[in-house]
Formats: sequence, structure tokens, C-alpha cells
Amino acid sequence: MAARLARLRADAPPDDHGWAPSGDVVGAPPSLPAAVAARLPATVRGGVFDPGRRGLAVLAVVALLAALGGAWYFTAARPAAGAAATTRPAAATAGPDRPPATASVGALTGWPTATASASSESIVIDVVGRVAAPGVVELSAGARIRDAIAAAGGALPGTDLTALDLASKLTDGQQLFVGIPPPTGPAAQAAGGVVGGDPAPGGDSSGGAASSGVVDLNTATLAQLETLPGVGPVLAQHILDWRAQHGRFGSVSQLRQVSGIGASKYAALAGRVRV
Amino acid sequence: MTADVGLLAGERPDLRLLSPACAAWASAYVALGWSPRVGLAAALAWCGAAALSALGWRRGWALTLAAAALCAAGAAAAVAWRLAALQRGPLPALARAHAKVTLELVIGADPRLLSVAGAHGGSRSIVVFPAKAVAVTPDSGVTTIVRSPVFVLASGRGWLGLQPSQHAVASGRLSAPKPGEFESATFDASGPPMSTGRPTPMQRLAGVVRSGLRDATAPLPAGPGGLLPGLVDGDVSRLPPQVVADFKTTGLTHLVAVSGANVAIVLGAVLTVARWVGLRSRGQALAGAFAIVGFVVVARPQPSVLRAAAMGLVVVVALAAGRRRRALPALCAAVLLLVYLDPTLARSVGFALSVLATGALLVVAPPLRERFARRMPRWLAEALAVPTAATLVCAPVIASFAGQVSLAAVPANLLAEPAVAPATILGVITACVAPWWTAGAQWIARVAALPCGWLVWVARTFARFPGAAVSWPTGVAGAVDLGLVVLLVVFALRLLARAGGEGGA
Repeated sequence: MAARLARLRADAPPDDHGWAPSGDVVGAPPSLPAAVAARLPATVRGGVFDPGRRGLAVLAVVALLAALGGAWYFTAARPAAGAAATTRPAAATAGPDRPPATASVGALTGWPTATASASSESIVIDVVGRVAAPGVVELSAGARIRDAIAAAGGALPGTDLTALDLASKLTDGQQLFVGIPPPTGPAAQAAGGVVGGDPAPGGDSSGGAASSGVVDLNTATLAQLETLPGVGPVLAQHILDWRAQHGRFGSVSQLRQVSGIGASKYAALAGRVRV
Repeated sequence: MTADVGLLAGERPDLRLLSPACAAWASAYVALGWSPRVGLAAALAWCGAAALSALGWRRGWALTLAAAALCAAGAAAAVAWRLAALQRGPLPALARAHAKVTLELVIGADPRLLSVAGAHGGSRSIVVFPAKAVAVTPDSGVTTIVRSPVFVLASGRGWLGLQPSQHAVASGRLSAPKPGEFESATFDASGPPMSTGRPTPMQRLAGVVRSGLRDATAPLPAGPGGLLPGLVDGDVSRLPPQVVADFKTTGLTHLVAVSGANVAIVLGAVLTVARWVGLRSRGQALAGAFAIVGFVVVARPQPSVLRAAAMGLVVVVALAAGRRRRALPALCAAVLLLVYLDPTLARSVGFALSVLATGALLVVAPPLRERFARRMPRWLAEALAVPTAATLVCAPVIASFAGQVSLAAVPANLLAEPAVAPATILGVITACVAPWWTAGAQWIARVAALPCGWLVWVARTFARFPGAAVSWPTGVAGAVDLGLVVLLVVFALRLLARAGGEGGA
């Protein structure tokens, strides 16, 4: 290895054909390859191909990284559920309005769909904290935190807005804390100072409802429901079916009406779900 | 170019990355046509081959072969995972069912207007762009978060002018992707976007620069005024179709929209200025890297821009590390890294042409120049060697997809060459000034229009010559045919040169 490197560095004068007599060249008599090699342009004649052991190791690492990168890409393309979204780069997502665990249509932009409950013409947001005119503002569906702050008269001078993702979209019924920390409590786990909301997409963009253990019945996917104790794919599908039939869960207690959920199962679930 | 092309006396060319880069490229090219399973199997097979050849440690080529096999394995695996990812999520099944869905998209590239033949004769305009679907809601109403590349066909207002990284929601119908495209589905949007988000700050900045340049060149005549934004950021929306056709006929297509050469020119200019200002090598490297990244964002990551940018970054890293900057290893490293990062580039014609042209510049042009210099003044030999080398090497690839061989390419490029650098640099300065001083930018644009006008004139003049372009069979057969013709011509010329120039040589 050392010798090979030394040879690489030493400016060994090439012979007539540009092939230095070295171990790098297969010890073949002047054959077709050698004849072709001798006719190569001078810029590549007698070139060093051998990467050396260290070069081979580096290339092996690079190739491995490429394969791992592909595998990561595959993992990131997993549909639905928190796992897929947590591996998504934050910059590529719309922001905390679509928390990984709750792929709700309503939370997105208010598309007309079967499960979206309230009319999505406009949304109502409570803006509190360091804004010129705190209070309840009405915005068009799909409005973002930036719009809500503007509707509340704009942020007061000197207010630090970096904690808020100004581009993230709001959902009906949320409370927006500008420049002040949200009150602590279970509801305040939301990221970016946004709390509540009609489809209740609370949950931060990294953890999500699945990790905090509380699943929103109206937005949960099959996979998220399966994270609940005692809920398998069949029961989870029953819950989704009930939701599809009735539009949405008005309260947690309606879980009892889902076929397959008796008193004991309900007791086990009640603390782990919300609406 | 910014890197040393020549070698020190007696130094052996560094081709250590050549076989790994070629192996990765070829492996990715082939694997893109396979199913993911076959691709992964091929990757394992390549690993086995690498192990086998590495066992033969002592033999001369063992390490070289092992490195090539390992790099091929990495490319096959990277491709296989990506192809498998395309099939994930509900989109492929919905596409097969031609389902109506609502999609949330992240715009992938500038939407562009395309004229297609209508069903009842005439033509209609559609807007097309690649995008990434991030949420899909079929009629059943259950939304799924996905991550699937789609190709969007849209009509109506509201789509043109959307910028990369913007979110948009739209409903429409899915269909199977076009064969040979690496997407999960084709999405036919039925109307304007229902709601759109804002681009990322970086893309907003790029948008400001692009629109500033468009405004600054607006007062100019259509030909040069349309070409200038193309050279800087690839925006050819104002370029008359006849000018584009002229450039194609005369083998100047690489000048219509921004290409790798423009990146190299900008990087070279920035590095020169940085050295002038007195920055040390670290500072120069930083300035160069900044310029490259900015250029890629503004001009959009097209294959040839990516090729040049990756190569430029390798050169810049070498500069920062105090290593010798050598162009051919940088080119190989750029190919290897880009094929790993985006394996679909392996089948991109633009990427292939860019790599081939650069390779020709580095490998074929210098000896050609020496040969020419025996018969003509050195400056002419220098100027003639570059377009000749690039044309000879690229012609087979161009013929394979364009179906024509441009006989005017060498003289047209020879005449065009001197104008490209001034046009690019003045265009970049225009773009940098335009966002805050329109009047000043318009002045600079007027100067930049002079070299652009020259380019347009060269293209128009040469396109008029009979036989400027000869039609040629397309496809692999065409490429091979022309490759053989090129080899024959080169061989014949060499024989002639030897016969005629024995005394002089």
C-alpha cells in the first residue's frame, strides 16, 4: 500500500507507451488491451486505476451510504401513520397543522369529504398574547398562523415569532399564543403555541399522538388505532366504519356504540382517546 | 474551467474514480429497467463479485475491480429502493383504477406551458410539472399521508407561476405513469388549485431574482432578450420558437437554456474575484460554494446544472483542503455522487450530454489541440479543439434522441464560444442587481444583450446553410451508427495527418 502510494506520488516518467512497468498493470504481453491503451489520448494514457486499499474502503462506505439512503427513501415513502411523517424532513411538510399522527382532511385545508364534519368555509381562531388586538378572529379556511396574527392587528413590536411556524395552517377552534408560552397541561402539548382545534390535530411534529398515547378518534388512521391497548386491525376497522357511518365521534363515550367494544374494553380505552 | 486540466510533467493521470463512476452509472441505468427485487438481487451479486475480486488481492486489478463492483452494487441498491418506494402507498393502486382523488402536492419544478394537439384538431395548452404528492384523499374520504412523486397535467389559470416547494391542493384524476418515467402516477388536475401555500424562503428569493431578471430583459428585442434569462436561470418563456429551432439545428442547444458551462463560468468568475479581493483559499472555497448553491437554486436543479455544480463543489472542496484541483477526478466524483443521490439521472439525456461534453473537454480536447497546433496558430487550435471534441463525443447521443446530426455544430460553436462567458457573467450581474435597481439592471441587460444578439445571429446564419443538420436514425442503432462513423472519420483523419505531416510532426 505504502509503496503503491509512493509510486502514485512520485512522478515516475512514463515509458514510450505511457505504461509504467508496475504492478498496477496486469502483467500481460503486448496484447489487444495494451495496443488500445497505447493509442489512448495522452490525457488518460498510463492512468492510475487502482484505488488502493484505503480508496476501496472509502468507496465501499460511499456505496453503502447510497444503499442506505435508498432504504431510507423507501421507509420515508411509507403511507399514513406517524412513522412515515416523523421521517419526513420538516421543511417538506406543511407544518404542524398536519401532525404526523392525524391525517385529517379538515386539518389540512378543509376539503369537502365524507368525514370532514363542520363546514369549511371559514374558521374561527382565538388569538391571545402579544398582538395589537387579541381576541377571536374569523378567517377563511386554509388560513395560516401569519394570517391569524395579521387579523389580530399584527404582532406587537419586539415580539419573538420564531417559535411560531408562521406558514403552518390553522384549523377551526384553535387558540393561538403569540409571544407568550401556552399554559401547561395536557392540551398544551401542541407545537408552535397552537392549542385545540376542531379536528384537534394537537401533537407536535416529531412525536404525534401515537407517542403521547392519546389518539384522536376523529382523525386517527387504522394504524394509529392499532396502537391502542387491545385494539387489533379488526376492531380498529370497526371504529373507522362507525366514524364513516356517523360522520364523527361527538364524545368519547360513543365508543361504546362500536361493535366489539364492551364495558371493560371501553374502560381501558377511555383514557387513551379523545375527540 | 476552474480546475487544472494539464498534468505536471511525468505525472500519471488519476483515473481511480473512473471505473467506479462508470460502473455506478451503468448499473443504475440498467437497474432502472428492472423490478426492485431484481435490482436488490443484482446489488447482492455485485457485492459477491466485489468480495471475489478483493480476495485476489495481489493481482494487479483486484482492487480496481472490487471498487467498481461495490459501486455498481450501491447504485443497484439505491435504484431498487427508490423503485420500490414508488409503489408504496395508495397512489399506484388508485392510478390503476383511474380514481378521482384530491391531492396535496408540493411543486417540484416550475410549471410550464405545453401545447398539445386537441382531440378535435387544433391545439390546446396544458400546464405540466413534476410534484410530490404528500396527502391523498380518494372519494371514500380517508386521507393518507404519502410521499409519492407524480407528474401533474393541469389546465386553467392558477398553476402557471407556482414556484417549487409551494404546497397546492387540487382534485382530479389519477392514471398510470408514463412508461420510462419514475413516478407513482400521472395526475390530471381538473381545475385550478384549491389552495396554495407559500414557497420556502430560499425559493421566494429565487423567485424574486427570476422575476427581476425577466423584468430587466423585458424591453430588449425578443431574440437576445429571451436568450439572456435562459443563459442565467433557464427561463426560456420569452424565447421565440424559431430561435430555439435555429439553435437546435446548429448544435447550440446547450446555449438555449442554462447548462453546466454557465455554472463553470460563474464559478470561475467568483473564484477569480475572491482571489482578487485577497481571500485565502478557505474564503475562496466558501465564496465558490455559496455561488454554486445560489446558482442551482435560482437556475433550478436541471441535470447539466447539477453535474456542473457537483463537479464545482468537488473542486471547491479540493481548494479548501489545499489539494490539487484536478478536473477529471472531480468529474468522476460528481457522476458517482449524483447517480447515488438521484439515480434517475442515469437515464437523463441532459446529464449524459453534460458529462460527455465535459469529459471530451478534459480528455480529447488537449491532445486534439496539440495536433491542430502543428498546422495553425495556437489560439485557433485552442478554440477549435474544444467544440470539435465536444461535438464528436456528443453527436451519437444527440442523434439517438433528436434524430439529426448537426454539421454546422463545430463552426457555429467556434464562433459562439467567445460570447458565452460575457453573456453569462453580465446576465448574472443583471440578475443580482435587478431585484433592487430595475433601471440599473436594464442598463446592464442592454450590454449583455450584445453577446446574446451575436449568439442568436450565429444560430440564425448557420441554420440557413443547406445541410446544417442531417437527419439520422434515432435510438441506440442511430447512436452506434454515428459512433462508428465518428471513429472512422477520426481514424481516417489520423491516417491523412500521418501521411501528410510526417515531416512536420
